[in-house]
Amino acid sequence: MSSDKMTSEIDSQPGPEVNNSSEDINETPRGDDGLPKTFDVLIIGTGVTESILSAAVSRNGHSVLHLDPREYYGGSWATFSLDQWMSKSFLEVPAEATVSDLFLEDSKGTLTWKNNVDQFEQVWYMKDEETKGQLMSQRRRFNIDLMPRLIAAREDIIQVLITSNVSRYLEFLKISRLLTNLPPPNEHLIESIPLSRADIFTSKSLSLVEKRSLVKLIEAVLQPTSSTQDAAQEHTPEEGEAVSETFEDLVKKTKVPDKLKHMVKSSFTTLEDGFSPDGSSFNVEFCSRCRLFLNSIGRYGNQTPFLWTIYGISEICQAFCRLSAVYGGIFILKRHLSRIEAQEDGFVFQTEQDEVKVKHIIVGPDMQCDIVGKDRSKKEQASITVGRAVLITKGGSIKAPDENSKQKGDGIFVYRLSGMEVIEMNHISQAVPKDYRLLQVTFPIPDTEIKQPCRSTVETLLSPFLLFRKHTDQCMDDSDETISSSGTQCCSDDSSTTTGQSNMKPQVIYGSYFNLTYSCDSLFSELYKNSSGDSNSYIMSCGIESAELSKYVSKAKSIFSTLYPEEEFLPKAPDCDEPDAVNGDDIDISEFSSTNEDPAVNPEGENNDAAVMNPNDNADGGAIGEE
Amino acid sequence: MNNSWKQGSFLLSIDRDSDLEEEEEEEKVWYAKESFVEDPPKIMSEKLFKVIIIGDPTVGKTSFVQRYVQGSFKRDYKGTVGVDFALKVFKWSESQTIRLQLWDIAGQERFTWMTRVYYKDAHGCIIMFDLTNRNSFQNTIKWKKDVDSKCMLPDGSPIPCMLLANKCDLSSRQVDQMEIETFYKENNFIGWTETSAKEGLMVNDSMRFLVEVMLRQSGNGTNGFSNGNGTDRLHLKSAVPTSSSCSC
Repeated sequence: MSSDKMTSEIDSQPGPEVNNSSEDINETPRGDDGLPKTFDVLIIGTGVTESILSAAVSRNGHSVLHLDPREYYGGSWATFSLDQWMSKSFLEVPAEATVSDLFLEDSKGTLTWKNNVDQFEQVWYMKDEETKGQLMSQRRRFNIDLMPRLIAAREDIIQVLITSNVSRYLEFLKISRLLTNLPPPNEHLIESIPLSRADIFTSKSLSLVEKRSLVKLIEAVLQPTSSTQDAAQEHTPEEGEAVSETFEDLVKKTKVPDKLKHMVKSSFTTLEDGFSPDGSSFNVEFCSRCRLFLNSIGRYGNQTPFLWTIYGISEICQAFCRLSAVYGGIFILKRHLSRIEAQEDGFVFQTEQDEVKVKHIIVGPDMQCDIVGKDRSKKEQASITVGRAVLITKGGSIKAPDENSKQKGDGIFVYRLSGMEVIEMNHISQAVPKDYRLLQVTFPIPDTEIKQPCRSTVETLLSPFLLFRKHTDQCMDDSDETISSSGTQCCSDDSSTTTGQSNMKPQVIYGSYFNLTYSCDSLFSELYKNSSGDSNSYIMSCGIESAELSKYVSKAKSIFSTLYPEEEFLPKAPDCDEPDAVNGDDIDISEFSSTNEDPAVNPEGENNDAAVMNPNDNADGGAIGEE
Repeated sequence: MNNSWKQGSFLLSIDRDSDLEEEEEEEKVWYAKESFVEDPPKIMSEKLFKVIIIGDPTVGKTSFVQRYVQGSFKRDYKGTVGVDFALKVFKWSESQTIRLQLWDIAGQERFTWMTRVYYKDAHGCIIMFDLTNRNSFQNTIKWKKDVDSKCMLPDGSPIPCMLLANKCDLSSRQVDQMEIETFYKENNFIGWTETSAKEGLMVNDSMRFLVEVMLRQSGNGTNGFSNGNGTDRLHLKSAVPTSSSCSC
């Protein structure tokens, strides 16, 4: 064999030496386990804001110690396999991590660890061992997000991923359909939301008059930015006036009929509006969100504005953590602090046997910081609680695509059903094995019901679309068709009204239900400022409550600029001696970015031209532009 | 070949000190050959493999990569900053070139289990321990479980994992060979050997063994890199709305 003829290609980037790494052989440890005694920044928690900050700080050559009291990455952004999920590891508050004492110059305080999952309940709807066994044998093929997040293609995080080159660790999928059910009394009917000009004109569910008014409405929404792409120029007086119009104003002006209004609202709402198309908060901010939504359509050739992270949202945190590690950041999971003390020019903290000195401390949103003797009246611990359900189903999609639909028949679908967001995934998402579907349900909970289990709410609202109970034993048949057709019969009370629909309801096999609370302080980041040294050192909080990823990014940016005002935030990380890009079908966002300055070499230029559908250049991108 | 290698040369070749020298001799020859490969013949086919190297701190992972890729050993070698992996390209046969990405643990990420990002799409894995450190041997099972829980080949089978017992040049060994032999069988490693990154012992041979296994697996249609389930993923072309012509 001629394999002994070898050429060796050596990594061409020697790079500066890591100042805090010890020898790999005959290592001389510094602490008891080799932990260096000083770091520039300590970060606690591996949620998205903390992870972005870790990468940003480490990337610029500052040493980072990154701890997480839990044994997995991501905090509330974590992703689990089915067995991890069922073992409810995310419910456990790391015992020793609950309190660490703070000793500051003028005051004392505590850092308390919070658990944000409550009322967890899981149910097997199909109890036979065969079904369970089949499912559990593929448990590792599940990637279940604690809190699933759709990413709009023009959201800031995408830009940061591209400019920092962290995107090289990630793969995304386009979400192929966005659907909603109609307002009462037709709430059992689901229709696709038309998202492009072509969709609108070929849609059979809209009359010609409706189509015209929809286009008018979209133009009205886009108006303030349609003349200029530069958001900064939005503040000219006349445009400012247009911006201040609320959604309801626009609806009135364009005389959009109720059904359309419902659909439009359904597609634009997020958790902050409560997903409810009948909510009242359709204000200016809503309009700007509509614009993000419309501008995101087609950016990567996607029919919806949304992208999905393959293997789950936790990948985003882990990708930033990887960059941080590659630049020298040290990560320790399942580690906590016992004591933090302010000293001259920084803080000293105790973690297990190690005593470590740092300049700045950044704590994640899962840590509640209480400082005695400081005026913390403005700190009200704002929080939002959402209801969550994770359902595993068999028997196809909630709404099978129309036969004549040009859209691809399978993938990830997003439904807005009766005030709930349902993300339905098949195996393409890498979140669920073949033949099953994973339904991620999210919905707002009124304050009065925060302590109530949410299972019955989900079952009631989704029963027109899903089969939660098995009524007869003929349903035991393994064949999907049998399940579905008998399902329709079994639940004829539910489906009798769906005349003319041949929809077969998917059977729910397993469901889990819980309430998830984000409680944090979005108003300010600075928890404590220690100005005893030559320069200030800080304890900063990453706490932020939002359904929108952009806010997490801007939080990270603002904390970074407080700590390092002079420095660039996440400059592009050079590629390793990267072999030819793998020509997969996943989206490598760095390659298709129209704004990426790096002249990315595209092996299939033609393909990519098609993929870069800049909606601003292409009137088809989401029914934008002039008539 | 697989079997004989595992049980024959793998175990026996570096049994005692006397064999060590012989082995060293062989290694020198390898490097000599390596150095005068000139204008390689036309590349018929090229395969890219991602190999991850894990194990406790200080067992010699970085030194192993350094030895394999650069053919050198530096006592004070430290991981390079900002680099995910070392790349080695070599000719496997007349028609086959191999590009091997060796993902080192990034030196620093060593007090914890790895991120999935590190494991993702790996075709092969090396779990390394230090023969002079019993604890590092006992921890290999944790590493194996971590790998198996975070990545698999597209057909659902675990990725091929090789167990390496490093620092066999040192005399103060704490782990018995028979124990390792039993251990690797019980825990589904594809093979094991003793290595010395410092002396260059069994570095190339062990890598060659792993590449062979990965090649066989990719030949079986379970090539992890070309999207085992590619047909199910969205194709960019088909995902672009076909209606762009009426954008007027």
